[in-house]
Amino acid sequence: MIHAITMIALTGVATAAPAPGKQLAEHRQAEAYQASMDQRESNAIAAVTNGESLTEALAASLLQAQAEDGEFKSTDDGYQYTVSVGWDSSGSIRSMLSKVESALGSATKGENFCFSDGDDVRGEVTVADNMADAFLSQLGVSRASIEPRDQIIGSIKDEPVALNTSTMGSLLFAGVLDALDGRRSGASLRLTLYAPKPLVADDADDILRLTTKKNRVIELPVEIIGDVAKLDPEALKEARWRITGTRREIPVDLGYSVQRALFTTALKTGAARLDDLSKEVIYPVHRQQVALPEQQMHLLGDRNAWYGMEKMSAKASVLTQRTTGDCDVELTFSTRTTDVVVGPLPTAAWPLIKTFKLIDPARTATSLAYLDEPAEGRDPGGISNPDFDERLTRAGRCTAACAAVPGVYEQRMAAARAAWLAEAKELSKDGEVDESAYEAPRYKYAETFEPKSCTEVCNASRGYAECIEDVVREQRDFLRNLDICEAKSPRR
Amino acid sequence: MLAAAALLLLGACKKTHTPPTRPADNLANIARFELDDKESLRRYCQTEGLKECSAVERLAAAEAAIRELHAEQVTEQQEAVERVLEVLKAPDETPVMRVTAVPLEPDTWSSKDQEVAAVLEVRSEMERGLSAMGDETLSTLRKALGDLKKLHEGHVEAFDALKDDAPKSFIVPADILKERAPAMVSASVVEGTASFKILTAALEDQEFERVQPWVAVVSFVITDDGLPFRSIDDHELRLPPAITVALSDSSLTITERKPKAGKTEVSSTVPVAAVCDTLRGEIRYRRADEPLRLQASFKPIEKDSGGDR
Repeated sequence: MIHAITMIALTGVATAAPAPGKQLAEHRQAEAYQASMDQRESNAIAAVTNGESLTEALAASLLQAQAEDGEFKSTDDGYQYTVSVGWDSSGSIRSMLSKVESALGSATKGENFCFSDGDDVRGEVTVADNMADAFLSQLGVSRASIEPRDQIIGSIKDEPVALNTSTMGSLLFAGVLDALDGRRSGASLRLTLYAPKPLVADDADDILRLTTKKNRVIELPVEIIGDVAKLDPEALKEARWRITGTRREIPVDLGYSVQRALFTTALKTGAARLDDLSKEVIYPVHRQQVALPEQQMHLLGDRNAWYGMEKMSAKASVLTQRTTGDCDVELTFSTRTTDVVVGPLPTAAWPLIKTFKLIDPARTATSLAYLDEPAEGRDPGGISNPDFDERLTRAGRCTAACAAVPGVYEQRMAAARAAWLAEAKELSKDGEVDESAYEAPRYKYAETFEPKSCTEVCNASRGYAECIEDVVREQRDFLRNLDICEAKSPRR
Repeated sequence: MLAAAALLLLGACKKTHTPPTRPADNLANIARFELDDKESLRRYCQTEGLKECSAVERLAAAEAAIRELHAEQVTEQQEAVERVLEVLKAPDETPVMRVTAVPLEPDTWSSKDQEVAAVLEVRSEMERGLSAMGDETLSTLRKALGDLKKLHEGHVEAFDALKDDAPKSFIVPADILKERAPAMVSASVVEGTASFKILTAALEDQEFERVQPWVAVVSFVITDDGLPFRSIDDHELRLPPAITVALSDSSLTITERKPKAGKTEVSSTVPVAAVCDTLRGEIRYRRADEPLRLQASFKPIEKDSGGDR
């Protein structure tokens, strides 16, 4: 950005009265506008991709997992099956691209981006020039990484070399390009190494000194292998390349592979040659790997019977390159097969499995349900719920009711005797009563009541159970009602 | 020379019924003499008129007879035990259970999005275990156990008789005694418990594996897209096995499940919306070691791609 401001200032000096303040304000405005456009684009694309990166979303739409073949392996717990999962480009990328296009706003002119599976272009989108950089950035690619570059192919001592800014540095590469200007393909260049000071340091230190056990010293002259190690760094700073036919002097920089190769030769002879030089334009390929959505492999049988699920993950390679054809930029998506191990499952299970269905759980929901109908409803005991519940609790109720009867019976008999005594005393002249004349009330069946027998009959007869319970609970006309219960007892 | 041979023979024969005495404590570590091998003994004892050799032969014959009888008896008892175990392998029928939904109370609901508690009543009636294993199982088991008991009693009698016929000095070999140690067979059924003894060897190497008990799966189910039986929630009720069989080298114990009726409730929280999707209670049965069979349905997820344009 500082560079850009400097340019504006220089332009101003050359043309009219400078107004740097105004120009700076305009520049900042333009910069803010571009930032807001980039942000707007970023938000719009994020909405289309549901939070995934655009490249991931495109790869996920285009590449579809398919179970291909596999092989069985025997284990102690049954058979394992290793399924080979391949990825084909049968998915639709167009709907996503049209969403992207509408999110970015339609553009008839601009950069044309193509999306390919390696064989065919599966979708295109045209992005306005002012949005192209941001769009590339959304795709995970910087413009600089794919811009076409000049390159020179040549050889050093018959060894082929590619000459470009990364192999020989921008200064020397520019110098070589200038020197080749106007020359035919296959030309040669001579580079002379100029150094004001000796490049190779004093060899005095290159002596190997050994001390024997008897403290005798042996000194041997040795040659240190590796030219750079012997170089004088200070002298190297002042070393220059001179390209024959030009007047340029270019600092030597041994950080570049081609310069090191040239330097090795030139150190011995003072110069080096670049032969068979020809210019070409290269289109760099930007490589990235994106995670494909985690896949679920469902093991299905007839009627979608479900026998289990395995998870798998994979990555896709995305190559981005400028092209000279209809596409300004082409992105190519590809991936490798992935092995998924299923099982081990029991031997009997495998014939039931008919399909390996692969789904992306983020895009497809899986629901599981029972395959079979419910068990046929059968009536416990063949009776209604109220009858069942009554039967279930009867034993406890019978035990309690039958156990309570003797106590109540005794109370009622005692009460009857007391009532007779009171009445008899009242009727007698002197209040004296012959208690032996008392006759207890006669209840034919109640007199022989036995709790054990009561409980047995109660458990076997709902009618008797309800009768006894009622007698104990209500206690109204207890003795008579108890007699009625006993009279109606099914065991009698 | 002959005398020496006779002495040698006598020595050899005597050794068979006069075992070396236990060394005194201070000689505890001294090496014992080895017995002559049986083959050389047999050859020397072919000489007529050696009464010690006759005794040896009688003992050897007694041991051979005892071994033969024992082996026969073990085989017979093993087969009888196998017949018992075969009866015990009969699978039991699914239990009799009924699911009833407790009516919901829509008047108390305030929103279609809320979740409410739903209750299913489960009534069950389990017949006695051996009846659940088939009508004939009880009688067949009784017969198989009775046969085994009688067989053993007869075997003991026959073995003792043969032992009594053997020479007085005859001792039943230790390995046979070990195999004839009593093993207990115990059957606890609804009517009561019975137990008797058999030979330990009859239970050795016997294997028994019974079907796993039933598990009742009680579920709240709706009908969803393409899935007629989609579960909202389920509860598993592990049911008691029809019989339990404990088999070891020294005992066989059979315990029958008593008949039992019961009622229980299961409760789940269900979305009110599901009630309109034919919410219902269902019951399924599975063996404890087997899952219920499931069905899958796949549906694209509709995503909101509107964003804030």
